Amino acid sequence: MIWLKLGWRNLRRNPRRTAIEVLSVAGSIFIAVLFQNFATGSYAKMIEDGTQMASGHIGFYADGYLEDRQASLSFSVDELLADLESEPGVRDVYPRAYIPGLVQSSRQSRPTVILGIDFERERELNPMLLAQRFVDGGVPEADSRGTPEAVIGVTLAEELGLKVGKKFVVMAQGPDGEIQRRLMRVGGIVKTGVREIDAATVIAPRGGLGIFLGEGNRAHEVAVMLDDIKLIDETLPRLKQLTAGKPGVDAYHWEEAMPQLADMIRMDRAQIQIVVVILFALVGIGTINTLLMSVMERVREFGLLRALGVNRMGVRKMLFGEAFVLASAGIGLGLGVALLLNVYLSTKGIDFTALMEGQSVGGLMVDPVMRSGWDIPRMAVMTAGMFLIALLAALYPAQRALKVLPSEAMRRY
Amino acid sequence: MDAIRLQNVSKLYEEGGTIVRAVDAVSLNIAKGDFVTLAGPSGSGKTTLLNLIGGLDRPDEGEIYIDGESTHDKKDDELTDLRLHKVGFVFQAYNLVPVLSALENAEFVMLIQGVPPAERERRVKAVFDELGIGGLEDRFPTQLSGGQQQRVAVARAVASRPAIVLADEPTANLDSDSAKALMRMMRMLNEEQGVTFVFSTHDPLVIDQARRVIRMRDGRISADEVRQAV
Repeated sequence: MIWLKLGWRNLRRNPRRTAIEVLSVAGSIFIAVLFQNFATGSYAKMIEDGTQMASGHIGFYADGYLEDRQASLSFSVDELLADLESEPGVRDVYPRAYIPGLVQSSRQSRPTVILGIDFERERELNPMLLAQRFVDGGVPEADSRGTPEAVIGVTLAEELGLKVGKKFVVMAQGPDGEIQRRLMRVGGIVKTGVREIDAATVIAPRGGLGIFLGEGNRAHEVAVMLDDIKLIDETLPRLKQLTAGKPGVDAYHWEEAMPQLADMIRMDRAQIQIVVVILFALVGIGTINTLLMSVMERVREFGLLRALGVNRMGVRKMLFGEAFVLASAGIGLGLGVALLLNVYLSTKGIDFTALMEGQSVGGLMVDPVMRSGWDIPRMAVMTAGMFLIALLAALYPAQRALKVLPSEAMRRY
Repeated sequence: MDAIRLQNVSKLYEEGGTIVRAVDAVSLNIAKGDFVTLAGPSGSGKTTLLNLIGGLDRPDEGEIYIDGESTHDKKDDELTDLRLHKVGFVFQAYNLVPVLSALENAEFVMLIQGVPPAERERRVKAVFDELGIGGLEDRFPTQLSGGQQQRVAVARAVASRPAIVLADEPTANLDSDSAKALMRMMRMLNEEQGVTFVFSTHDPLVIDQARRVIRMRDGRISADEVRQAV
């Protein structure tokens, strides 16, 4: 304790220098923690929205489908759906079809990918089908027996001159390679604000797309949402076993199904790590500078301490004590403010609507209000890392303090 | 057994390209419990010799024994340990740690030695009372006069109960009353506790108190006078 007491009292000898270093440590940990938590919250939201709209936490696909998304690679889902619905930890199961084709009205035609879903399964949770997205109409009540009703994007509707209740034709390749046509009716028009999505969205009942998929209950994807995303690693091997008797179909992690999103998050995280490393380096340099100046001013005092019987380790402990006090004060201040702000950001968030207007993230629609998360393990690592850097930064000044002989220190300084 | 034994000890410095023998082939024995003064003019080698005895510096030639133990082959930390347990220092310029109170300064060496807190406090209080600085325990060095600071430094040197106290011109910055009181107290510690004292000084007051006066000139012992009674 004497070393901490000495450290604290020595730092008080030059309050301005100490305050500058404490603020530098505080600023660094504040930025690092806040960036990290905000990124964690944003990634979680992107993954949540992305998996809900596309692959699920775990997705089932025919072999080779993820490579080039060939429409011919659909598979029968009856048995798989039944198996999945009885699996523990599985919250929702969404069979989906993706039909690349042409949407044609009496006025115009547009190439797009028609998304075939089961409306009754997805009406509550699919971000595209939320009530506030509809500018006209709504989610079709049930899969139509006659002319299927579809939901289309607002830009596409404008370009094709379509309104709710109007008919249009979907043209695409059938399972036999021949071009097939299907008449559909507009059931609802949605606006996401993301231009590439609003200009291309056609969500149709999967049951109405049989002409393109072939006989039976077929889909290109079975998206599985789990109760908790953290269950993916333990659930995936179990779900893979469900396809053991179904050659040609396998289960995939969302990162395999949506590599663009996964890569974007990885790259973003790497950039944050670089920022954190730079902040750590600044803290290290700042601490070395503060302690070195302090040592140079107290050469005689170190000589005295050594004369009195303080050994080399004692001198190091004394400077470690100063570094510890500096780091504790800085980290306490920075972390405290960062956590307080994080409470606000995790509940209210920041609205990036103005920045994200008309843009998707990795081809997916993401909520523009981003909230920070609570990445406790990374916060713990950063705090410990900051302490370690500050303590290691005391090594060089300690070596300098030990370089001068006690007699020399007391004679010359 | 001698408390201190020097065999042909020399210390050389280079100044302006010239080698200066600050201590030149000094051989010396100081008995346990002795009260010795190294006297001589400035530059005669007194402080250098004290530093060598205390292990603050290493001789270029010769050997030094403290309590029968050679310091020749000791590593840096071993010498520090020897100082911690066997040698107490009183410096000319008081040299208190500025961020510690008088009590904390006086306790500091014992704290490093691992003496329990209650025992530390008991010893310091007793020495403070003897030195007439009782009640100043909580003051910091800047709040003490020169004489009070020097007495705290003496308390630090003797409270840890070293075998030897080395004092480098301890009265140089004190008025004559303070200097007399300090010498009286050191003499008492010497007589009552058998602590060996070695002073460097050119203060007649200190020289008069010594049982043995070793005079130095140009790094050598020019006279060694033992007095029967002071």
